[in-house]
Amino acid sequence: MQGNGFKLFAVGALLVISLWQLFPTIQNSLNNRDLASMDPAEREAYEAENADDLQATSEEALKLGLDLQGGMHVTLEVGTGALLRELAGNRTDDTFDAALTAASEQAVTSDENFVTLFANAVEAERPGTRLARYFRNADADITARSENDAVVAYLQEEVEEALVRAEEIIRQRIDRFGVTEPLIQRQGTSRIVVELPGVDDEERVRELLKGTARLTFHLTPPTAEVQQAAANLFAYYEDGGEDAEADPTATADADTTATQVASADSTADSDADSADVLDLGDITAGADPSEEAGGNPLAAVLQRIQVDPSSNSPIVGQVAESDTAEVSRLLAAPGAARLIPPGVEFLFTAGPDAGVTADGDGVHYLVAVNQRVELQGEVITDAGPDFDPYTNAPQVSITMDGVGASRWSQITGANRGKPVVIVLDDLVYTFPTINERIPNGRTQITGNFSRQEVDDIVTVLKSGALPAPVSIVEERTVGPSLGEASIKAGTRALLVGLVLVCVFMAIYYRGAGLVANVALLLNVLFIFGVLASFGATLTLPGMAGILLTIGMAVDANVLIFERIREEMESGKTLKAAVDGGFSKALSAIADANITTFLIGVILFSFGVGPIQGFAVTLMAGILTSLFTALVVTRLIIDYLVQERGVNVAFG
Amino acid sequence: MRIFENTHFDFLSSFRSSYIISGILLLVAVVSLIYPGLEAGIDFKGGTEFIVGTDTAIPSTQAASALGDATGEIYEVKEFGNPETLIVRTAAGGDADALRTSVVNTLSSAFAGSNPEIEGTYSVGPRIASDLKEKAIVLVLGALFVILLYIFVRFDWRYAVAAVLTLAHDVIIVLGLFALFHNLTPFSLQIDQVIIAALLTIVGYSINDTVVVFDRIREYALLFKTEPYAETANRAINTTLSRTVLTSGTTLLAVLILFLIGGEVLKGFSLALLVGIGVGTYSSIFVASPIVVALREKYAPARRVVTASA
Repeated sequence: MQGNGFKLFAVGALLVISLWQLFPTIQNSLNNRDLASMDPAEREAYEAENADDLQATSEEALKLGLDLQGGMHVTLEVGTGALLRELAGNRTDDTFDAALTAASEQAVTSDENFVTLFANAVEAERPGTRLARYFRNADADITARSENDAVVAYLQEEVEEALVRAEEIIRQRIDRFGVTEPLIQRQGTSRIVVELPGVDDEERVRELLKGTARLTFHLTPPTAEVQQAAANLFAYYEDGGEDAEADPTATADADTTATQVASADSTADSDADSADVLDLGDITAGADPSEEAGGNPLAAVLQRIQVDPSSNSPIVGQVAESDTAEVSRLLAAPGAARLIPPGVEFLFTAGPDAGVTADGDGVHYLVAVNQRVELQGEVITDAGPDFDPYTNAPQVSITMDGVGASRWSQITGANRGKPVVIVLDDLVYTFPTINERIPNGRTQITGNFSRQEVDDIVTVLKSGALPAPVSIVEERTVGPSLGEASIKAGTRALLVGLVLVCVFMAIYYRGAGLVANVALLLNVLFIFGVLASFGATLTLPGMAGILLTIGMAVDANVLIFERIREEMESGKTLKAAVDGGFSKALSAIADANITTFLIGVILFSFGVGPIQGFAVTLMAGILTSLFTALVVTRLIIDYLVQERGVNVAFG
Repeated sequence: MRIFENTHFDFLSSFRSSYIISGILLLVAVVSLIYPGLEAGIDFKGGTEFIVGTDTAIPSTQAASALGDATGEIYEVKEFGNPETLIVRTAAGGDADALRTSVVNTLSSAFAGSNPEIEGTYSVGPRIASDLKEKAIVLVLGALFVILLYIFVRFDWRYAVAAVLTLAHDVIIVLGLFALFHNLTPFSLQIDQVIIAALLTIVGYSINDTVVVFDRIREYALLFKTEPYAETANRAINTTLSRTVLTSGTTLLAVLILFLIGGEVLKGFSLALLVGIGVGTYSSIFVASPIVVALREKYAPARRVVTASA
């Protein structure tokens, strides 16, 4: 047994470390079980009392992946195109627009970064164009004569900075939202990955992440002009709008609208069979589908509100929530867009503040505003939740800096009796009529808000505006029940697999099989210990990896035991056979495990998310199973054979 | 207990039939990879997938047509483990916000009392999908290359070539199986990131198995220098047979458990492993060794030629 002292120490140390590392995990799951058995009031009191302890154990416990505990994984992409447009200010032209479109298309498949793609697209569009014509900027030393390389470098720097800033802002917003252990990190040149364990209010998070928080104050165009434009738009679509044949998408859309209307009709009067037949007859007779919808696609989705031209009201009409996209599409059609006066845009209100439709769909106003921005969110120094003193409705109150306040005082002073429109991320929140000059820069944003919405608006306003719009390009949410089902299925498979393998080994190798089983059980303990001490996250594929390791872990022992059998058959004593078996099997064990380990390394370096989880457990499993097979089994067999003189059976 | 003790199977002569078996398997695999071809999951194609829990069972075909009628998009709907859980897929990717609402609204109005609830979402935009696809290809090729290199260093180039050909054989057969059956199984057999991980694990397992046999061939080649190489290989396979079958047995047992009770999410993954481990075990005996023998006979190492002429 000499020379085994170190091995014994190593096994003991690893055992203690593993148990130590796993202790918080066990504690945590016991806590959770206790908490689940309490009634809500008791639970709340207990949680409040032991908040620190509970948090400490849950932080030190083995982390579960989103697929097991539920939560949200979102990849956001920062809109580089929009950022370039902003940097170019109003110096854009057709070449710029065409290049931006081309670059966006190429970006889908290309590895190049967006700025390079854009620069190449500009060159392709109009060779020899100096990028500096769009991006002159005294602060960055970009003059009209700057070389394209210098401009590209400047733009790349700006994009990088925007990404860093976007990450920072999103971090602040998430922090205020209050998620435990969120993960926020940049990925590549334009993406930000956000992982929020345990979050189930997905919609709210999505709004919080995407909101650019661009707050602007606008005045409204003369009401008479707006009413005239609205009349023209309805007349335009009354006459058929875009040439239906020339625009296949328009007909397709009209078709689906017609089917929807038709099916809604047929369910409405299901007792009148003859009416259904009649409806069908009409359609098959080849009637123009748009006539089914009343002949005017705009009137079908937008209910016009005619107001007295002297009233100063900016309201154009009202739209059901589900129809807002269709209205935007109809208004943006080239023929229709011409009819909207220059410098005016039509925006929807944020909250459903015009009541609800018969089937519970919220109705929004369509409001005309001047595109010109009178005042920007940058002037805001503070924002906070507040209540309307008369109605007690939640509202957001904002405070402006000196420059903002004096400008705000000017605007409100000069436009008494007219509405001022407060727009956040292209949605109209409020358009109060100015009663008097507001001298101190303090203003309220009212709307059809819930208390929670007010908090979220305050959060985005306080963390500042995103440098460029972000969009969600990948999203993975796992609800708590799905996660729980996965944990159950995974744990059960793990236990059943472990037991079956152990039974098999005991039957096949008898005494030596039992020794291998001790090693196997220690191996599973060590894997979890290693995972916990490296702060790795256990995912469902990770659990699969552990089960696979259990199946493969016996391999090293099988190789050794088979060798020992061979040695014994050649007439050696048990002791010599054991020595020979271990040393001769070593080369095969090493080669077999190194190759599999290399695969784990590759999976870990190039894979993402759950695959990395799988790779980590696979690698951890290989290391621990090598250790248990070569050290633990050896120690036990040596002890039994040499110290106790037991005639260990190898099957 | 002992199985395959002191076996003297003549693998040498069965190599001929294994060429035929592998040839047929590869042919079927390659043909089904061309038609019907693999079905890319949303990881590599972009799209959105919802797991929808309902109070009452909704027939998946009816759900698909209701969703299709309401939106004009094509929806694929399958049962997810039990009739009260559906997996709903559509091609639109990225921002799943509007889709989610429309799926819940359509299902709840089309199937009264079903009370659908979204339990999970997975949505990938086209840009991410193309990135992931590229990564997956790099991953598989990278793994094969690293193994080629390792075996080349530890053994020699004949073994390395044989190992990589064997691995390609295994990967193609498993992929072929996915192509052939992806329309027929009740669970998903789409190729996604997790399946790529499974493929690499198969590569890892298969090479593990192959290397053990190689190791023994190399060992016996030094012991029985005058024996024809094919004999040596045969002897090596026979002596490692017990271990090969045993390890495959325990691993298959573990993976079978995973397939049967490991949950719906891992069905495709564990099936890939199940088939892959079976094929990998077969190939390390019947594919890898004959290739080594053939290469060895055709391109004998210099040292052996010297021994022979001495």
